[in-house]
Amino acid sequence: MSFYGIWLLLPLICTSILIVVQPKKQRTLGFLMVIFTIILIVLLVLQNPFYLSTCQTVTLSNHGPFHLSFTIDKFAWITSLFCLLVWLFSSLYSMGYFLKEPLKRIKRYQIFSMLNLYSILLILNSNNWVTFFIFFELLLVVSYMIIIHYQKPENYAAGIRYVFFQVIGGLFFLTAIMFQYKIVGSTAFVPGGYAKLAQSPYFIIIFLGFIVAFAIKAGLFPVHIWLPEAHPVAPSPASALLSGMVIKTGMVGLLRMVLQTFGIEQLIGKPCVYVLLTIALITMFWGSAVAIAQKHIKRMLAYSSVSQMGYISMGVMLLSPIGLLGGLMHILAHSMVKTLLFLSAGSMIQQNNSSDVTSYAGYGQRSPIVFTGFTVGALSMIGFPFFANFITKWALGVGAIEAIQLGYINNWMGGLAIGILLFSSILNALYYLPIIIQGWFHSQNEENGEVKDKNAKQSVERYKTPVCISITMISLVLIVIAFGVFPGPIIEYCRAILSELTPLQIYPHLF
Amino acid sequence: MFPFKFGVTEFTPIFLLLTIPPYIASLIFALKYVHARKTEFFSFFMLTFVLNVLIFFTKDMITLLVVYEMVSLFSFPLILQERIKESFKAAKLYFFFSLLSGVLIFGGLIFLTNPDFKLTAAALMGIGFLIKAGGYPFHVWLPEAHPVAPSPASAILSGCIIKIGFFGMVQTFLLIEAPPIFGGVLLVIALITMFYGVLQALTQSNCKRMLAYHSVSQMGYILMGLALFIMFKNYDALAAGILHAVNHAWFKSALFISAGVLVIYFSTLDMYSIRGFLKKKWLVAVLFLIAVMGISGVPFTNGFVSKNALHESLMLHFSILFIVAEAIFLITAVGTFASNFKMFYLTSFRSMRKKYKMRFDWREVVPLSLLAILVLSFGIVPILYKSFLPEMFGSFSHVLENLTIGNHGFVHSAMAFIWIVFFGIVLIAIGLKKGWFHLQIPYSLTPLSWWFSLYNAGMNFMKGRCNDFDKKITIFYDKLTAFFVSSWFLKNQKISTCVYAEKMNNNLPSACCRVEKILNITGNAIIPGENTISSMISKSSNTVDIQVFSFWNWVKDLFINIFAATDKADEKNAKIYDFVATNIGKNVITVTTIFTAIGFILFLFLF
Repeated sequence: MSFYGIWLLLPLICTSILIVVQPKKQRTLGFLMVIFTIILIVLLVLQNPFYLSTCQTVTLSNHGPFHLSFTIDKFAWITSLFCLLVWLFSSLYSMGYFLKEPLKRIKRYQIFSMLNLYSILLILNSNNWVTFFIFFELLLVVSYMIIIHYQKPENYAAGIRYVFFQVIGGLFFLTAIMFQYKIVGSTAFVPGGYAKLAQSPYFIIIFLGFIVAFAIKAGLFPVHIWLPEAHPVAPSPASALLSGMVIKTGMVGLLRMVLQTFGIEQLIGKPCVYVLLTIALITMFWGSAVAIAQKHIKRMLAYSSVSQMGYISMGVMLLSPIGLLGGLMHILAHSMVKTLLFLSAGSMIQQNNSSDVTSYAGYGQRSPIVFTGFTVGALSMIGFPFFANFITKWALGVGAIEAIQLGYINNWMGGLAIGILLFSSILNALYYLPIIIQGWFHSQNEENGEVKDKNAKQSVERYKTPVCISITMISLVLIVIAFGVFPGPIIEYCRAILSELTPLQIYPHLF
Repeated sequence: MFPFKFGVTEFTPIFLLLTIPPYIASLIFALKYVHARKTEFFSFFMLTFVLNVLIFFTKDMITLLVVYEMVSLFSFPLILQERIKESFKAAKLYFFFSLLSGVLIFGGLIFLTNPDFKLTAAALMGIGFLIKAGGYPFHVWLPEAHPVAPSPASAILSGCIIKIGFFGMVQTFLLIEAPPIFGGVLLVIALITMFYGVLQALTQSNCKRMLAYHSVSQMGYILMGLALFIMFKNYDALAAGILHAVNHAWFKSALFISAGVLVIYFSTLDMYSIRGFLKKKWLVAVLFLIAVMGISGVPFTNGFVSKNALHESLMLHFSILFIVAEAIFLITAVGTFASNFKMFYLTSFRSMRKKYKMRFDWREVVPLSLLAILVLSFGIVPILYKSFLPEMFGSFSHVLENLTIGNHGFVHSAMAFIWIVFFGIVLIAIGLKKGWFHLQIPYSLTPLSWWFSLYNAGMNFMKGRCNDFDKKITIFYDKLTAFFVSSWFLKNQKISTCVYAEKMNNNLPSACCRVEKILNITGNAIIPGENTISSMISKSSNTVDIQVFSFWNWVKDLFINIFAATDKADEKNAKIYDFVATNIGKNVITVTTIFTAIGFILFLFLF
């Protein structure tokens, strides 16, 4: 008995429940969200394709190009799992975050958060481009609603920027799908891709269409502008959703495109791959470099996300098995780490009443749990061993070497890729470390070691952190550390995913 | 689980001999020295201890890297322990260089996965570990970070933690067979490190800063052993380098602990204002003297053994470079002798009028005597080292035997040492009289200033250029968006709808104002004949004629709007943008729906 179809529809049912209920307390809605997410996770775990022999498929419509169909393959399963985890923590956190807001607004937020979850799950589970596109566009509308949550002028400004970018991206996407359908007569994802596509004269147009859409969604270099505008104005749980999973849909699309539409073998040596690789490298540098100058902490984190999207697209565009593995693992690792960072940054802004990166002197002593979360996230971003990003950066670097070895890119390009990967780590340290050092080692009464007011009280006053926020922080910290210390299962899963997505010639051995 | 590989290797015994005595001594001394934030200090101290020992049990490079990064991370709070103003600067410098070193080693390991890039890997890993070991242009963090830490922490930082950089280099170059040119470069770096370190040390007046510069200089000796090994596959030289690393760990931690005692009793570190240490605490002063003798390489101390072993390896090779190397070696030895004995003379000997009561404290004496016993016993019986050294250094026992008391090598070297003593004493005497030790190397000639200017240039580039360019991209897109919106929506739909809607409500004046506002903002005269829309509306009763969209006008406006780089144009666009954001933004769902619908219709038509 398959409940896959019901599972896909479940978020909509949850949304209708959220619309109907009239709670009296603010946190009831967040609690309901948590319950729904847990139910979804449990049902997802029950249909694990790593243990079931067949993938379950639901087809709603199969008329010509209008193909509406979903499959839960391994890739869909693991990305859905991480997506649901992001939502679980974000909802749990929102119970402690939205305390002073009107109930009506919280209700709207939670409803649209659930709709976001719905559209992302359906994007991840879709097995053809038309379905992917429909929910990609739906995601645009519903994520707009969580960006403009506070309804201030800057929210609208950021929102409209987001919409204009996404709409243009969507049109490019649609063009690409239309051309693909015209050439191969199908938009479904096929392991190994369509050989016909790469030989057709319209290859460049299709490639460009897909790339522009995904680059805009993920925020690659010249079109990343909407991303640092949208993140700071949204409420923190929403920024976590945006950075954690919404922008990853672009990267999921990129992986699906490379592996299941064009196929790796058809793409090797094409000049457009080099172009995209260059864009990815520029993004890696650019995001980190611009983040250094930012004053607003969430804006800084948003630029960091831009840089990390560069990492993922670099891994994918190297086309070597370990590079793909690194890109895939970076999607998962970054979703957890960035959620942790944005959620802790939200609490930091709320408790400290300031979003300036230089204003967190002594914050660590006053709110240790939240700041531990931030520290772990930041160290992971820098790439310290024992944290998630160490493994993925290692995989990306080895992937670049492997790409040189296989002859996909030349020595200079590979060296440049590794060099920028390393340089970006140093830049990450340059903007994360001052915050950590100030937070743990300065005290509010001191500035650069000089005591401002000698009569002030020596004891530190602790902020009250709501229990649900503490739980969120601790569990995310544990996940990030577990990812770094026990990477074995995830590497194995990602290898299984890759071998399912595409017939790989060489099976990767990471260490 | 992360693929860790731990186990006892050939190098474990000798490096444990290096690590454990300084840590135990500093731990005992820390009981006396550390008063504030004890929990923080001791927890991080013990973590560093455990990890520093663990690093010598690693069996492959990636495990080494993991432990190495952990040591950097956990030794970092030790520097910040006193929370003084300089310590924050120094700690940032330390952390930044540690991170740079970690990142370079990480890159080297990535390159190591492919045998074609072995040499790139060797270079990256070599530089990475060199940063930690304090080699010349990368040593800048060391004299900043070590003096600001509390003395027990400086003792282990200078004694043990910089040695893990050396350990990493040894492992790297045993793993990768590098061509001799690597050794040549490293030899030049080592010589510069030696000479520069001792030159700076001579001119310092702060005791701990002077000791930190001596660490740099002694690391030069140690690296020279490694360089000779890479150049000539001379195992004796490497063994001598390792030996010097061990000896340096002992006497340097003893010196830092003595400096800590000086801080406790004189509450200053300026060697010119401290006097009468010998009278005040003769036992500590004698132990201090043994450490000073060790670092100067006086016979009967272990410094003598390792320095002469290094010197013998250097003597094996004759060429111009090696004559220069020989000269620098001896000059450095004289400088080391002079600066250390100068410190000892200034702090201990100049008489003090007041009489102090002697106070014996086991927390000072026990750690110092532990280290002093090691310094003396291994100096008198150098063959003791043999059981700790790896098997590959089998031939080294001859060198050790030769340097034992009574043998030819010992006598010869001890005679040669008289010259060093002579020149050293002359240097102290003349230098103190003429004030040579107060000369300062200009800041612009120190590598620290170069690093800072590099850093500032990079930061200016990223904070200034990149950030500005990013803003320009934003403005570009804003102009583009504003233009599209203004020309399509405002002119053709928004104006008419808003005028229409407000006309229906009999609210004509407001409608006129709004439309005029829009037109002023967009700045395009689109009303034929009349200049103001108010007059036009008042003339015609029911309808508003608005010019039909013209493609060429639109293209012209596009160019004017986007590429005209005047301030006025920017201001205008900003206004439009604000307007769009506040008014159209609210209706964005409608807009999106229209766009999507258009897309779908296109889609269905095409197939």
